[in-house]
Formats: sequence, C-alpha cells, structure tokens
Amino acid sequence: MFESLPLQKTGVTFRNMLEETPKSNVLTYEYFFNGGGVAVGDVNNDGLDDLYFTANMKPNALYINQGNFKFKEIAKAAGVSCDVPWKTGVTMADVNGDGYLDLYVCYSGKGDPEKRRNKLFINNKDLTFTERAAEYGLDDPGYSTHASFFDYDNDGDLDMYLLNHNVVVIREFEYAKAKQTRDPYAGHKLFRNDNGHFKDVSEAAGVKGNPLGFGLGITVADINKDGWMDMYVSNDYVEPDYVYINNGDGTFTDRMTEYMQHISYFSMGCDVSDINNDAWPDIFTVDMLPEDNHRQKLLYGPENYEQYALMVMNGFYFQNMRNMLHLNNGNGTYSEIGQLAGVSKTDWSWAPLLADYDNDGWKDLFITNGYFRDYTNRDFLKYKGDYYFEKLKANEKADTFHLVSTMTSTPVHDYAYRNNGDLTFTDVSKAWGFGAPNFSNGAAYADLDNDGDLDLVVNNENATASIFKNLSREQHPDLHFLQVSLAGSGMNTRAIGAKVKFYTGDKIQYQEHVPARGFQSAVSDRMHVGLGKIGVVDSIAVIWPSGKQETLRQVKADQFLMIKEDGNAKAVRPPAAHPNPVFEATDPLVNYAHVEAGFNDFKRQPLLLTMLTACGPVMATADVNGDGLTDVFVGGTEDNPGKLFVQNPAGSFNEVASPVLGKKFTDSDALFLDVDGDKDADLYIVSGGYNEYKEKADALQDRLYLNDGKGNFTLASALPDVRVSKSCIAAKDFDHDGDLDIFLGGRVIPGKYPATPESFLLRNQNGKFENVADAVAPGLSHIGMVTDAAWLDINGDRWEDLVVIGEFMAIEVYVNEGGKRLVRSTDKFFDRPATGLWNKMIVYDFDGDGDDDIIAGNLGLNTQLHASPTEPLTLVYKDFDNNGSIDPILVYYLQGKPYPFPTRDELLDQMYSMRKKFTSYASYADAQLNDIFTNTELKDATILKAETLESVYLENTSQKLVPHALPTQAQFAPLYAFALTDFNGDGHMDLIAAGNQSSIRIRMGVIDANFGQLLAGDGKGNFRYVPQGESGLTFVGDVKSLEMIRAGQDNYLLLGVNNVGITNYKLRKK
Amino acid sequence: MKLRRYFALLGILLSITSFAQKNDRRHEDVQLLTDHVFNLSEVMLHDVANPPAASRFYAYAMLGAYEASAMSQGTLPDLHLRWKMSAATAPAKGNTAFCSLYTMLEVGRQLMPSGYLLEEKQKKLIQYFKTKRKLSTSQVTGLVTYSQGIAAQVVALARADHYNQLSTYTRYKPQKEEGHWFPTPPEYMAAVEPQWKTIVPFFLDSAAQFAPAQPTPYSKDTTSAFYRQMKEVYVTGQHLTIEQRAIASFWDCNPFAVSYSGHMAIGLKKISPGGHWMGITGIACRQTGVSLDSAILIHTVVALTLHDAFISCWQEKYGSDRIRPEAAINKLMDPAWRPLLQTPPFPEYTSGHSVASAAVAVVLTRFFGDGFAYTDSSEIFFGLPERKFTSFQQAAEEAAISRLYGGIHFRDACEQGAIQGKKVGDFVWTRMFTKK
Repeated sequence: MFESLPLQKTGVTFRNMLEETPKSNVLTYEYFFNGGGVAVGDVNNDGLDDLYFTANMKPNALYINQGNFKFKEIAKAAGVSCDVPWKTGVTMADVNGDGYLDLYVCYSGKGDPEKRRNKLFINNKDLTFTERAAEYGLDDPGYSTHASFFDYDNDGDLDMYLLNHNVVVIREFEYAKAKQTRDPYAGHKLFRNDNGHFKDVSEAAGVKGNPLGFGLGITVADINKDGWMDMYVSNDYVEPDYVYINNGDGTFTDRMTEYMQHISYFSMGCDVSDINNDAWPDIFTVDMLPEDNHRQKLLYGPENYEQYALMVMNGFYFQNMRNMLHLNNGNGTYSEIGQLAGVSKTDWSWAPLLADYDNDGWKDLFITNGYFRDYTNRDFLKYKGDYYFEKLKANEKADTFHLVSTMTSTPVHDYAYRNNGDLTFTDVSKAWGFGAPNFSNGAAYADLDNDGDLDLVVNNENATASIFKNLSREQHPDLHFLQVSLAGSGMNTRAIGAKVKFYTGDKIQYQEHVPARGFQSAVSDRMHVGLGKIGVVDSIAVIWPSGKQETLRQVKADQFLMIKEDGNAKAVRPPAAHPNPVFEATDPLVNYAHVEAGFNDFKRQPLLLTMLTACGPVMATADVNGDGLTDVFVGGTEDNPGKLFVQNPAGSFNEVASPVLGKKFTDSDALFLDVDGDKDADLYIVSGGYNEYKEKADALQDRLYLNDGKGNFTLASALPDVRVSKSCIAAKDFDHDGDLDIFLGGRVIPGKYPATPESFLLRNQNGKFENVADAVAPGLSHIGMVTDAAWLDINGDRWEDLVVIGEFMAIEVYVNEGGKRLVRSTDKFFDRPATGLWNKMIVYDFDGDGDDDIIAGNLGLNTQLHASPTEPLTLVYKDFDNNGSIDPILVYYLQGKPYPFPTRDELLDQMYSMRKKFTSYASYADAQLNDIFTNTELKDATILKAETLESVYLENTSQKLVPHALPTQAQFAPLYAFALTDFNGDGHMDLIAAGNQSSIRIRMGVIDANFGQLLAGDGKGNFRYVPQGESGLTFVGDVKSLEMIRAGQDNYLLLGVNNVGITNYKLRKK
Repeated sequence: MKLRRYFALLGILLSITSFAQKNDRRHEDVQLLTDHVFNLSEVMLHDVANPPAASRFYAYAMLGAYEASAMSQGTLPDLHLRWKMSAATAPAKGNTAFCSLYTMLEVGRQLMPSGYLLEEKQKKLIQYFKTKRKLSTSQVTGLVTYSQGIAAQVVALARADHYNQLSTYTRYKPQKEEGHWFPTPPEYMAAVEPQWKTIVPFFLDSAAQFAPAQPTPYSKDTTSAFYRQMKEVYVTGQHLTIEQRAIASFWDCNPFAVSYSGHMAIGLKKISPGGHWMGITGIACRQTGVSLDSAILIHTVVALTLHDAFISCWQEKYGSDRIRPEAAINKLMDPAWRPLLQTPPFPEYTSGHSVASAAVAVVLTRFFGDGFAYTDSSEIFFGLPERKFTSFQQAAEEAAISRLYGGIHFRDACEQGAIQGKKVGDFVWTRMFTKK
C-alpha cells in the first residue's frame, strides 16, 4: 500500500550520517544512535507540506514541496541548516502567531552547553528564517530531545514543554538523592509564553526536573477531556513515564500511578490518540522488546526479583520491557492491552504514529525502530570482557573503542499495523511495503501529494531518508477521507489543542490537533480522517482551545476543509462523564485485611509461571445464626487466619470469635453447607497454597466446622486424610441418598509443579466422609491440576454431572450414571478437548433453555503467550537431569515455531548440565525443545497442553458444551472470580467478571487490565461489555472472589482482593 | 605412623631441594603443568565460574593429574581420600607427564561448562609430546585411552558430590530482619551458591566442622561493636593510602565486576581467589625447581584444600547471612558511599578470600617452609603489577585485610576467616598425610 520513492524521483537525498570516533561514540555519549527527527508543515503557505530533517552531526535539511513528490532543498539559503552537532528533535509551530510556521530545533550532546542551545527559527515569510531563540527565551542549553508547543493555560498563546534527557548514568543507589534535585540540563522544563517571551515555570507548575529523566517522548493531549491540555511524557530507563494532568490553575500533577497499572520500562516515543473510536484518547508507548525468539533470547538475562522489588519499593513502579497500549476506559482507569492488541513487540522502537493510513475509519499504527549497535546482547556483557584479558595476555594495549566499533549491528524493518476495529491490530509491515530492514528514528505523516491519504516521511540512520507514498486512494478510491485545517483566533493561529469529532451514523471519530508526537518529530498540521465507504459526514464538531464549539453538518467527503474559529462558535461545558453508574464504591462492610506472608514461589521452583501461594481471599456466605441475614466468611493466609463476619440488623458486619481458626493454613476455598442434616450452615474450609509446605504437610488438611444452629462452630473429625494442596470444593448429593457429598480438586504438589496432585470424591456417610474417587469415578483422582469444579445436570437425566477444570487441563465432564458411577465423558461433550489454563467457573442457565450453562475463566489473551489447536502451549516435564527435581519446560509458539519459554539463565539455573550445552546466549538463541533434550530424554516426559487461552461461555445443548468466546474485554486478563446479578432488571442474568494476576514471573509482567467487568446478558447466551464508566467498577488488584449479598436495604458486590482484603460496591437501585 | 608421615614429606622436600635445577626437562615439565593449570583458569574466567565452583573445578582436575601420575609411577604419597580409584593399567611405555596433563585437561573439559575450549589444548599437548618427546602416534593413542580411563573415574567421583543437586534447593530469599544480606549494587546479582554446604568435601567431616566465632551482632547503635566495625570500613575507605589501594586491587579476584559506560555494561573478569593461589603455587614450584610429580602433588593438595575451605566458608556465609558493608553503610551512614571493589554477590561473614588464603598458606608453608619469599606475578594478565612477599603467611594475611581496604568486608570477617582457614588447612594436611 506504500511505495518507497527513490531519491532520484523526490530529490530528497538527506541522510543522517553518524561517524563513530574514539572521542564520539556510544560509550562517550549513550544517545549517540538515537537518530534525528522530521517535522512536516507548510512553511510557505502554498498548500503543500514541506519537510525539515535534523541530522545529529551533519547539516539539517529543509525541503520545499514542489508538488508531485518533488522536493527542493533550501536549508542553507533559508538559514536553517544548523551545521554543528548535536541536533535531536524538531517541531514546527506558529510561535509568533503571524500565520507562518516557525521551526524549533533541539540540541544535545556532551559538549559545550553554549553549543547546545536550542534554536528558534522565525519564518520571514519569504523562505528565509531568522534565529531568535534567545530573544524568545527558548535558547535552553539542556540536553534536549524534543519540544511541544501548546497552550497549557488556555490564554490563547502557545507555551512549550521541553523534553530533556541526561547524559550520565545514575545507578540505583543514587536514585533517592537524584529524585530530590532539579537538573538544569537534564531536567524537563515547561515554558510559559508571556506576551512573546517564554519563561521557565517548571517548578511552580509542578513539572519534574530531576536528572533521572531520560525523556524520549512527549505527546500533548486532553487525557481526561476536561478542556485543559495534559501531557504524556515517556522516559527511558528506570524513571517512570509522567502522566501530567493539567489542574487548570497553571499547575500539573503527575497522576501516572493513578491512571496506569504498569508502564513501558525503556519508554521511547509515544503517541496519544483514540484507537477504538470511543472518543477517549488512548496512550501508546514503544519499548525495545524484539518480536522474534532469537533476539529475545539474546536480550533477556536472569529475572531478578530483589532488584525489581527495589525498583517498585523506591517508587519507580511496575515497568516492563515492551510496548504498552493503554486503553482509556473513560473513568480515569486504563487497561493496558498492548499484547492483546498484538502491538507489544517491535524491537528497539522510536516513533509510534497512530493514524488512519488505509482510510477505513480506524487509526492504524506505524513504528520506526532499530539500534545501530547490539550492546544489550547478553553475550556482550558476559563474554566481551575477555577482550581486555586477551589483550594483556598478548601484551597489547586494550582499546575500548575497538569493542564499540566491532559490536554487531542488526537492522530491523519498520512495523505497520492495521487496526481491525475490535481492539486488535494485524501486522501488515510487509504487505504495506515496510519489509526492508533499516535503522529508522524520527517519522511524520502528511498527505504530501494532496491525494487524500497519508504518506510517511522517515529519518533513517546512515541511509537516505524515506518518503513512502501512500497508494490507498489509487487502490481504494471507494474509501473516503476528509482533511481539515484549523485556524484559531488569536496567537494560536493553528488552533493547536483543538478537538474535532467526526460523526457518521452511530460512529464517532475523535482527534486532537497536536502535531508534535511520536519521536523527535512533528506531523502535518492538517488533520486527516478516513471515512471508509461513507461519502457524507453527518456532522463535524470542533471544540476550539478557547472552549468554544461549532458544528458543521452534512459535510461531503473527499475534500480539504479550512475551519476558522469565528463569532458563531459557542461556549460549551464538557458533559459529566457518567451520571449514574451501575455500581458505586462504598465503605467496606466486611473489615478483613488479607495479608500474604510474602512467599516467593519462584525461589522454590524458578520455572513456575505464576505463584500458587496467592490464592485468596476466598469467601463463603450463608445465614449462620438463623436471623435471616447473610453472613460472610473470609479465608485467610498462613499467618493470618480467616474470619467470620455476622451481619447485624443495621446491615453492618461484626467479626465473631467462632470458629476458632488456627494458623498455618492457606484457605483456597470455603463453603457453607449442611453436612449433618440439622438444617444449619456448617463451614468447610479447603486448604491449599504452595508456600513452603512439604508434599503431605498437615497444613494441607481441610477443616470442617459444625454449626450448632446459632452460629457456634466446632471442628468435626469427619474428614479422611486429604492432605493435598487443593483449590476447590463442590458439594452435591450426587447419589441422591439425602446428604451432601463433596468433590475436592487437587491443585498442586508443593515443590513438584506440574506433577498431578490427587483430587477427592468424598461420599457422606452419616456425617462422615469417605474418599470414593477411584471406586466411583475412575481417573478423577488424578485428572490434573484442578482449579474449579461444579455439579450440574448437563444431559437432563436429573442426575448432576461433574465438570472439572484446571491449569493445563481440558474442561472435563464426568457424567453421573444414576448416582452409582461418574464416567468421564469429556469427548462426548466436546468435539475437541477444550484444554486451557482454566481458573474459575460459574454455572447458570444463561440462554434460558432450561439447562445450566457455564462461564469459564481462562488466562485471557493479553500476554506474550498464545495458544490454538495448531500452536498449542505445552508444558513438558520430568526430572531430566535426574537430580530429584522436576524440570517443567514451557514451550510456546513464536512466529509459527515452538520455542522454550525459559531464558538461557533460567534453563541453566534449573539444570546445571545445560551449562555445558549452551555456553553462550547465541548458542541457545535458536534452541528448540529437541535441541535441549534428546529424543530418548523426551520419550518418557509428560506433556501437558493448552489449546485455548480465551475465557468462554459454554452453551449447554444437552448433547454438547459449545464454547463461545466472551467479549474481547473479558480477555484483557485472567478471570478468577464471577458473580451474577440482573443489574438492569431486564430479566436476563448479567455477569461480573474479575481477576488479574500480579503474582507472576517478571518477564510476563503483571496482568491487570481488568477493573471488574460488567457483562450484560441478553438471555440468549450473548454478553455485551458495559463500559467501565457506566458500570462504575474500578477494581484494582488480583480479585480472587466475588459475592453478591444483601446487606440492610441494598445489594452489594463484595470482592476479595489478594493481599488487600474485602472491599465492596453498592448496586444502584433499579 | 608419625614416622611414616615424615618419611613421605621428607621425600617430597628432598626432591624440592636436592635436585633443584638439575634438569631442564624437569623445568619444562613443571612449566607445562603450570601453563595448563592456567588454561583451566582461562576457561573459568570465560565462564565466570564463581569462587566455590572454581575451587571444585581445580580440585577434580588436579585430582585427575594426581591419580594419573600416582598410578603410572607410584611414587606419590597416598592422600587418604575417601574413595579409592581402581588402578588402571598403564601402557607398556608410560609417560607420566603426558598422562597427568592430559587427564587434568580431560577432567576439566568434562566438568567445566566451556570445557570444550580445552580440546584445542589437548591437541596441542599431543602435538608437543609427539614432536618434542618423540612419542609415536600409537603410543599417544594408548596414553590418551589410559588417561581417559582415569579421567572417567575422577569425573564419576565429581558427579557424585551433589553438585548436580544444587538446583533442586529453594533459591536464596532475603530475610526480613535487618542486618542480613541483600543483593548489592551495581548489578544486584543473585546470591551465589547458597547451598554450597551440601557439596561433599574431600576431608572435612562436615561443612560446619570449623565454624568460626559468631559474627559481631548487627546493631544500629552507634556505640556498638558492629557500628564501630562498619565505621572502620567507611573511614578506611575514605582515606586509603596508595599501598592499601594497591593491596585491595591486587587481591580483588572478582570473577565478574560489571563496568558501565553509559548504560552499556560489560563484565570485567579476574581469576577467583582459588585461581590466584593456584598461580602462586605454580610460581613456588617453578622457583624451587621441584619435579613434576612433586609439583602435581603440591598443586593437588592446594586445590583440595581450597575446595574444602570454600565449603567451610560457604556454610558460615549462609548460616550467618550477614549484611555487606556497602549495604550497611548505605543504610545507616551514607547512602552515597561506594567501596573500592565491587561487592561480591554473597553474604559477608566470613571472608572467602581470608579463609581460602589462610588454608592454602598452611599447606604451602608445610611444603616450602616458613619464610619462603617469592614474587607474585599471577595478576599481570589482569592489569596488576607484580608484588613481593616474604612468606605465604604474609600473603594470606595481606589477602585477608585487603577485603577491609576494598570495602567489602568487616574486620571480624577477615580475622575470623583467617582463623577458620588455618584450622581447615591444618586439618586437611593432617588428614592427607596421616595413615589412618
């Protein structure tokens, strides 16, 4: 779809040539290879966008667009060539409000500060410019990356944010001190425009200026849509990104930790734009994670939990090395869905640019990338030091520059992603013409030939700049567009900060007019919108920076509009977001703090994917004292036992002393049930966890407390030995003899994951339980790592069947044959076994056909892992090195081939024998399972499989359980808890789904994009995601349990959050 | 029994003194040995073998050389190991030098991760003996087979020392109470070999056999003994003399100090404390002109001593699990203070270098006598100048205190470490040369 135009055609010969010398190289200046920027804009107001490129070391270039992709270079004559290094970013803006675009060029480098002063070139309107930075107060000598001009105080003129970076490394131990300081050169700055003179107001405005800031991206946007422009600042290395929310009083507050759950670690460029057409700006940051297995394996070192913990504890937050797509939920929360969207790994990336390149009405994504020297290669760290020794041995002088200049260099192709319109993107890099490997940095889009599609301009390193002509209009003339130029009143002549909404049918497209974005670059200041097949836009609403709004109706497509702010514009107030959410957070009813003892399961089995200790808090509800009110039991952890809370008539809850619960247990499930037929609620607490438990530890025995009918509990000795770490209890009178029998699911053998633990079927014999699993249900006792189970009559024979799910397990069905036998009948109900990493189920007749259906929570789709029948996730295990420990090797598909998930360090730590096999990172970088193990070794290994990671609705047709994927939003995170309520009173049961997983390997990164999701049922088995703003749910953390209860006059949703406790939301009255 | 023991020693010492410099070949042989021991060090350097792991590699590789020599000549004293090798039949025309060196390399090749790097050395060794010592191809083939047989036995022995079980234990977890070890800057590397105490020693009855005195208890009280020690490290580090600085650097022996240029990191490597003492052993052997079998014996005794010294030390390190000066000073005194040397990634008490150096000094002194003066040139390839010593004891004491100068140990870890090491050295010597 894009054609790379040769320089012979365009005349654009610009190259950002970098010359490494002993004095000037990536060792002496670590941002040596960050590359140059590009700004696009019509500097001579002839209707054609012109180009300005920065070169780090050589002269910059200004190309005047002569039409038909012919350009003429005039930098020298125009007085803007900036011959002396070190130049970085560039932006165009009409700084003096005379209707002509001016140029602002940023400088960095380690040399003389005087040579680092940024330059402001004021347009003389005759293709010449005059440098007047000092006069304007913008000749800052900092280490600048980029700048963005916008009106932060809504006074009608352009202010400026200056993005700076440091040039010296600050190590962990210096962070605390560094954070307190404001660095004149490295610190970021905000300049306020006071009648044409810019004043540094950083400190007063609350803009951070510490030397830890390695700013690489600034995109201005009205993130919370309150009419005041906010800023997203991406920082390289440990300093977190900033989400500066404009307080409207001249100050900003960094609300990153409130808005984001985690962020990119080595954040590079960023863009802020609405990717799902809900009129809320989403945030995208790029990082350095390579797409292919080979480069990932060269890059990843050992996981270091202590160092990560230090980072988090020192306030640097949860950071992971991958691109992050923060989906704006419209209520101040963001769901990070980069992995689900398929845009999380584009190698060492610089400029992300969200725009509708194919005119289908959805914003696509273009990303530049590449780093000239592979110095993050682990072999370099570990083995290149040998060079110094070798030199000394040979009695020669070691030359560090030699090391630098012989470092490998791997060019990578740019990435293009087509927006599928459903929160996912498809990689079209090659299809769209970006397959050529290169090193590319700054980039900008513009319709250079005014044909109605966006062309791309890219500043490459040590190669000619690229001009990519977009062929969309030629190839798809039926897909329409509109382009809008904005003319604001006053000094902000280009109306930077204006918001434009394009309404077509029930669809809305939202754009904010801020040209500086991506990386060191500025895009065209003519706004482009693709319209798909729609020929007429119903209306265009422009909200000017002044706050006034005007609307154009019935606008024909395929034209270039100029919209001027004039007297007709009316002042409007932004509407309140969501006046009546379904749920409202209220003060906690049940005062229980859930405290994990801090076990790190990865220390015991380093190749676990998630920790298994963190399985609570669980809840059970019942009326324990016969007063008609619902009471709540909350399960505990090893040092902090669970507690029972009894509801009083006022609707509040009191902790009670009975039952007396001992320490040492990890409660993994709990259930009130009447085991002795005395019509009261007895309490069964399931013991689970991983902790430091031995295989048959006493702490794994369950506890059954009998109720005297008044809520006094005594421990019963009715249970057989069930000392296995379990996950769940499911009770049912499966043999119809009048008492409740119990299924207990075995979760894990502590220290021996993923070996199969025992599960139990306990038959109730006059209040005593006997394990009859092997006799009644062959195979059930070792069905897998069970996470949940439920009894339901699937086949309509009035005998409740048993459904069991688990990690690396199929959804298993045991048909109840007259209460005598439970027969494994999975194959009958599934055309193909539904293997997954299942966590939780809830049962209800969702389609109203008279039988129960199932919702089953899986890992979800927002991780680096994926699975399908042709590309399953497999877990291969045995004690390969015969040393007494199980070696579980996760194998996953990457680019169509299966690779081991563990990094070289992890594998070598698990099996010392591998140290001989893989003596370098490179030797392991392409290893597949059969390179690690011989066929003989693999022959008797056990293989567990997962073919789907989607959470599903299982429709019961009484012959089959038919899986249907839950809505995309429900795939944002693993689902661990469900609750049911008909929130809108439409007679159809609705679902609340929650989960997340933060007890997870560092490399996987916390999965936390689920803030509690309300899924509206239609009574036919379909579910509609209710936006967070409407549902009012803002769960944070790992939710392990949900309960709907009535307390006082209201219905409440209780949620159990791991290591936090029980919080609640009140359901809005219908 | 005592008499027997002294006979054996006398024999060794005689060979050291009376036949010194008599024979060029003898020199050549010892040079060959020490060169090839250094080849082992080079592989460890490349692999970044940590200090205890390095001591284990030296021990088994030297044991290979020792067994090959002992079996083909029968003149070396019995070291009273816990295991007995089955005697291999030497080829008709044995060549002790070739067999012992080849076996040593073969054991190293099989045990060390990048042992394959020694294949080239083995080829060169064969070539050397063919051209310089006129061995025929068929002779070499026989000797190689013979050596491989011995190496196989030694490797089997090594494989039974629980090394392979180390990965089955729970990894190190920082304790919650203050005063304990926590990963240190700049790399915050994971704790090295927390379960090394489970490795089977050659002579010690148990890893805890020579447990040192308890470390001075951690305290934030500025008048406490701990605080005084911490302050000593801090103040010493701030006022290092040129000599102290030289001493600290000379004994750094950090296999992997990460150096940063910008955010580009590169690991700078030195031989481990064990490697340093193997180098000193070679210097002493060459200086005195001992015979090859004596040199093999001395190297083996040193390596086995190092092996058990590290087990003893590592038992204490993870038992007391004490905080490093860098972490303590940063927490209690000065967050910006950095030691001269990079803090190694394992607990502080006792100092590994102090234990190992003291233990080896004991056995080297027994071999070469007290007051054995030498010039230590073993750090030249690591950019450090030669250094003169008047005795092994003096060197060991300097190595111990160097850790305080380097800012990575408190005084009691150096002093108690030296005592611990001396006990290990004495015990190992007695065990080796006493007929049970």
